[in-house]
Amino acid sequence: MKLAPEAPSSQPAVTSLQIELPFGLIGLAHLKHFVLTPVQGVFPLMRLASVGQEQIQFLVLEPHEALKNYEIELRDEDTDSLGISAPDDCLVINIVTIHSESPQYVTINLIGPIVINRHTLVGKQVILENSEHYSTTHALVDDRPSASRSS
Amino acid sequence: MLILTRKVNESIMIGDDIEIRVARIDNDLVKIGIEAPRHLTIYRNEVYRQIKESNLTAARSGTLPPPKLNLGNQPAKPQT
Repeated sequence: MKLAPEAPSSQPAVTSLQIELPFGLIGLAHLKHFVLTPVQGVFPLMRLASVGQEQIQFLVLEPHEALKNYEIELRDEDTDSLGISAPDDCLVINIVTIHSESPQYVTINLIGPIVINRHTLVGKQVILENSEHYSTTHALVDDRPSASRSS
Repeated sequence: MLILTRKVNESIMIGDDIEIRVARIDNDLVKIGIEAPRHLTIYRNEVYRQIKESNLTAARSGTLPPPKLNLGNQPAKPQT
C-alpha cells in the first residue's frame, strides 16, 4: 500500500496517546508500551516515552509537518497485521535524533517510520519497501560547518 | 556459522516453518526466496543495522531539550 502522509491529518495528536508496539522498536524489542505527548511550545515535536522505563524517550514528529515528497510504501503483511486499509487509518511518526546541540545537528529517520493504527493505537516500526529513496539521518537542522557534513 | 552447500532451487528448512530457497544466481547476485510465518519480520541486514543504530542514538538524545526546528517543508528526497 502506498501512502502520501502529506495531507493534513484529520485527527492530530493533541493530547497524550497510549501507543502499543507489540514488536517493540528495532533493536529495542523489549520496549512495547509508550505514551505519545506533544512537546509544549515546539510544534510539531512530540515525545514518545517508554512506559515503565521513563528514561527512554524519543523525539518524534509527523513527517508531513516537516517534509514534502515523503511517500511511504508498506508491506501488505504490515498493513494487514495492523488492520490498516486506508491512509486515514494511519498515524505515522518518525524518530528524531539530536546529534549535537551546538552547533545544532538534528536528523530524522525516514527509512524506519512508526506506523500506528489510529483506531486501535497499535503500531509497528516498519522498514519502508521504498527505503532506497530515503535516509535514516535526513538532516532537519544542520548548523555544522560545511566541512564536517557527512552527506 | 553453519555453512551448507545448495544448488539453485534447493532450499533449507529452519525449524518446521521457515524455508529458505536459493531462487537464482547471477554472478555475485543471489536471489533468495523465504517462506516464513507472517509474524516474523525479514530485513536486509544492513538496513536493519542502520535502523537499530539510529534508534539507539535517538534514545540517547531523547531526553535532551527539544530543538527549535525551522521547518520550511524541505523535500524528503533529493530533487531529480
